[in-house]
Amino acid sequence: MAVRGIEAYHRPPDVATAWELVQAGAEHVRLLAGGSDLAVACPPEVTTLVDLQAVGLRGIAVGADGALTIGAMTTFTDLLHHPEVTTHAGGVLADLLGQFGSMLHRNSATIGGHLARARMSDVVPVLLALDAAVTVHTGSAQTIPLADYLDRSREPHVLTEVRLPALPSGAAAAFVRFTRAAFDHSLVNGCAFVATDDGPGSPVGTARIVVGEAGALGRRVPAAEDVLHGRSLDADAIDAAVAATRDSVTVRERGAAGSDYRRHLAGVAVSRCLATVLARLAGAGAEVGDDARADGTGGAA
Amino acid sequence: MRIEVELNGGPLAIEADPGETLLEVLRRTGSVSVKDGCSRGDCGSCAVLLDGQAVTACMLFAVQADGHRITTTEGLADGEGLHPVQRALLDAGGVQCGFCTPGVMMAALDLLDRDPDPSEHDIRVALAGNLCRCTGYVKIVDGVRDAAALLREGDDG
Amino acid sequence: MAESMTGKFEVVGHNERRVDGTALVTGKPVFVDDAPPPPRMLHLALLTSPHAHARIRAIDTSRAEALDGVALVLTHENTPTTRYTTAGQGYPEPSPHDARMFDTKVRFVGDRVAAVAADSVALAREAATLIEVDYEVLEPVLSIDAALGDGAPVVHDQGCDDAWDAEHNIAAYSEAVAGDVETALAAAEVTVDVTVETHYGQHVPIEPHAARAELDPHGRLVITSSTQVPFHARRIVASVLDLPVHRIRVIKPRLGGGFGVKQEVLIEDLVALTTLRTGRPSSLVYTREQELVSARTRHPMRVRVRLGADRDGTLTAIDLDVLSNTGAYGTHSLTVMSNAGSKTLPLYNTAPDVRFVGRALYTNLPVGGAYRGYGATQGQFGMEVAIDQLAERLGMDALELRTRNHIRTGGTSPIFKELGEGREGVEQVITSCELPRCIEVGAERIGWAEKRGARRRDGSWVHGIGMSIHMQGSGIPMIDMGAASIKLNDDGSVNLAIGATDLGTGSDTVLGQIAAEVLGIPLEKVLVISSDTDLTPFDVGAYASSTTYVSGTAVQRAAEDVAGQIRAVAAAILRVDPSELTLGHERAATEDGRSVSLAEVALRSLYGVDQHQIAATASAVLDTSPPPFLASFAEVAVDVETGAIRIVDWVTAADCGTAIHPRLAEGQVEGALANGIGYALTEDLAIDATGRARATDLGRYKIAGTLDLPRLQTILVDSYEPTGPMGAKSIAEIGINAPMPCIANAVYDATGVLLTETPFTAERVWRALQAAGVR
Repeated sequence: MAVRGIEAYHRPPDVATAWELVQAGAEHVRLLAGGSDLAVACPPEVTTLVDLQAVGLRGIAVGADGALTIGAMTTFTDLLHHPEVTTHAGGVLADLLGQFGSMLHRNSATIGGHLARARMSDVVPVLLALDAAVTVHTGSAQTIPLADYLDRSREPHVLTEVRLPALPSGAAAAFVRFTRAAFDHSLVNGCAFVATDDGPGSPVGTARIVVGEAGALGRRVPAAEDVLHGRSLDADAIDAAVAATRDSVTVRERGAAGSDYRRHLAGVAVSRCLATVLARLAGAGAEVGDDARADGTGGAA
Repeated sequence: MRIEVELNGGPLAIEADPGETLLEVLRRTGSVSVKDGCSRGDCGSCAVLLDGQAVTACMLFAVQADGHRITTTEGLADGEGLHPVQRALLDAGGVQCGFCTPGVMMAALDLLDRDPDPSEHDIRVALAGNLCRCTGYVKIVDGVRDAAALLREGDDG
Repeated sequence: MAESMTGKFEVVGHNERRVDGTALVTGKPVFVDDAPPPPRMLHLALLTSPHAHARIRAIDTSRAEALDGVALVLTHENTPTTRYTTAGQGYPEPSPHDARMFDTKVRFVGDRVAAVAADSVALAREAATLIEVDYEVLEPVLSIDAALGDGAPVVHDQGCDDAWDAEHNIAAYSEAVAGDVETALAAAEVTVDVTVETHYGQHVPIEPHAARAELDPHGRLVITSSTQVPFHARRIVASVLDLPVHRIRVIKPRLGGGFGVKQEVLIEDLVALTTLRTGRPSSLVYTREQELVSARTRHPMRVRVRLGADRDGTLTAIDLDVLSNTGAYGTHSLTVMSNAGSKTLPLYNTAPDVRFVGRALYTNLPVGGAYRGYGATQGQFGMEVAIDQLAERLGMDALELRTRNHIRTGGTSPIFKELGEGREGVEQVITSCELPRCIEVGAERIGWAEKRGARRRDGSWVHGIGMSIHMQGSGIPMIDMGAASIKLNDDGSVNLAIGATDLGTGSDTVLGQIAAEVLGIPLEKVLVISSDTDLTPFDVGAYASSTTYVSGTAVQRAAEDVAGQIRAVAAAILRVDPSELTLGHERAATEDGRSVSLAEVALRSLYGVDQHQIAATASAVLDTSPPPFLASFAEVAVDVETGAIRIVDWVTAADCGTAIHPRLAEGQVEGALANGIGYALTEDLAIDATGRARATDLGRYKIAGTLDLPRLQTILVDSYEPTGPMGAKSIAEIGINAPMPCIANAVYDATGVLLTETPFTAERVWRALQAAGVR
């Protein structure tokens, strides 16, 4: 539906010009970064749209060490069709991108636009588990951890890049979501990243466990991470991580489903992610079949 | 403000309010194959090809399309001859009420452009954002599969 | 088994290209809102109630009216007060007349408060937000139990016509009794007692309701509407606005899906009155939120089924008790509730003692209406789950129990006469029933014998298999009427004018095929015009699975009349007796090969000798309503860790008599199943404790998409209905009745947990599994 009150549209050629427009317009400005929720519902104070499509932020760079630098205007379809993206960390981004939105959305939604407006998100848990950082431009560029970016109140800025660091050897991650239908928002989602000291069977060096639920962004679950550190990832370790998750995860008291159910699902999410991680570590990049891949609720196989 | 696009192969200049969606502007200027089923990106009825990729026109401001190439269902048939995707969907029984059909065809064309021989699952993945309440999707999937075969055989309508 | 007749037909039984197909796939402007807006067209926006139950103390529209570009604001203060029902049923409508265009009271969240007509949609919506309403909020009735409670608030306390007992919130009541159920149940060797409860679902046509009105040059009001019932819409609008019927013309162009919700006259009155008041064309298109909340829904029901049987598995008694929630208005309250019995009980006609009791209750919740399945969906859910439970108690295969008790060709049921459409029904004997074959081929295809009870486990997913059997009707006997007119043109083509309403099913094509078959011409020579109250003869419209059977019979009769006239002219040309001629390949021919073309016949009749227009009009009202039958089989997997249900495989075998267009018929089954599966698993208006629906968009109201369904397998078994046109009966509704019981029975097979409350969300299933200790 047409948004009333929008008077101006700009398509700046570079980030610096975009930033000037953001500064000049203050709360009356919104950035456009692909297909837009703004076209569906726009705050009444907005009078000016600044479209980032021409600032040159679309593309994926792969570092020699495997680190990924993703321009903020890169669409989810771009990511889905990029081989280094879909094999990163054992295929966790393929887990995500295959289920994220619909093709129609993946074609127009960008990673930067998504993070800048993220509420409930399937993307955030994966990026947090992969220790992502984002680069924001506020006159000058600075790179900050994604968790900090999501936590802090939103001062005007232009998000320009998402960086995924290189992975140590012996690391893998997995993502699951629980939804009613295949094309749906998640009720609960989760992502687990595990780096072992020396391959399968060796002690866990780094573990990042993230759980998200409807109406909230994903959050790390430190208690679950702590029980994994220093021990071998096996069935007992997974059970311990699940128990720690259910004991410590924060779920809202109200929502689309009962909080006890969401707490239970958080545990299932961690369990399934870690099981897949284990398989991926063991297979060292070998194929993980659909049956072995953790699957969300709903949706045909 | 004035925007210029390439619509179905020809140039088009349109006056659009910067707050208007691409869906509204396309319908207002006669591309009424582009349907409004939910106004918020849930149903896929308003899908168009933007530079060859299927997107929901209700979630774009028309001004974002300035300078780009747009294809709608109006641009598929060549005179009297139906495009293979039109013919295949129709003959497979993939059209019931027909309201979702234009959006479905846009998603199908995007898919077939990337993958000329998709599996049933590939087709279902590509159409996951196109809601149909009439068919149960079986015959839509068949139609897209048949369209792929026609296109592979070089049938251009 | 009926002899296959399809091979005898040239056009019927073939997958002809649809008569409207090219227009649809090329995106031509064929839907209501596609037509170029006429100059000065006004756009309407609605203000709806934020309260479930409130009285309007005062309403101030001055700020809205002051806005530049606002032409009119309609409220209860300046609109007619006629009481009517929005239910687009035959005259007199068997629904209580309990609604006004605008009332001084609002009865559900989403009820009409005001309408604004302005130069643009955005302006009209903005103006609607400027209307100030002073509400006296009243205690709402938010469940059927609350409606029945002592001292419950009265939803219709301002008088309404034809409700059963408005003082006690009872919109409708009906009962039907054969024999003595209580005695039979007490004497039964085995009994079961199952209660199921269904929730609020909505039809979700992808095209929301849309209507336009304008005055033609002669001052007549022309309404173009996405309606399933153009003739009822004309009659009801005339009545509400106190206009003579002859001042109104209603046209239905292509329709973007209806499923029953467009059998309701919800917006035509608003555009009509706006255009009459302003002299300007006007338009209203529901938002998706209005479609979901303010339009009509499936009546939620609590259905209690008690069965009695002998040890050998012969049913002795069936008692069906239905409490239906009709919401704020009683639209279809009596008939949907009655249908829960009349389309459920005859299926098992071995039981001599049968009883049905139904009550429909007013609440301050969204309004029930006609919805594909029409009560059979709810009633058959209870029955088919109860049958499986009875089978378990008997230690008998559920398929075997059904086979032992279901109705067959030549069979009847007292319920046909006892329980009609808002009045006494009509005695019927089944003249075609291929249900045994449906069960046989469906069971074979799904692998019933191997999979039932096997509980295959794959990780946390446990597989189960379920079945259910179903019936519906084909029109309403002795009530539904359809008519058709056919005239022959110079070139041997015909115009077929039908009041019947193609709501996206392809019925224009199906009816055209029947005419083409009789006249011996290809379908492209049948020019179909439908659903225009000025140009086409009367038809009740698209509901009650009537179109192919009732309207199709009218088409067949009209075509036979025209065929006779063609033979008469051809006989004069060929100097033979008309009885020696047969029609085919666009010619009338003798057995020895002499023939004339239909074009020659037409030219002679129009320009030559004994000039006259070859044409006929015929009507059909049938004294029977042959049920289609269907057997459905589902394999599901239940994730015992999360409660999620995944549909693995689905096989449906259906008996619809002759399938006039097999591919369209299969599409009806598949679409109905998809709709029913969505309703069973994920669709829910999610009404909160204040009566407000939380699912106000298609992100939250989740209908099935491509990845939520397996490849549905449909088998149309050979069948021939002797009373139907070319052997046909209905197919459009029946499939939607299968998913709830089929899935519930499959989940029971997988887990031993009986799901009786819908939708079967993962959370609900998980809780049931937890309670039963299933891991």
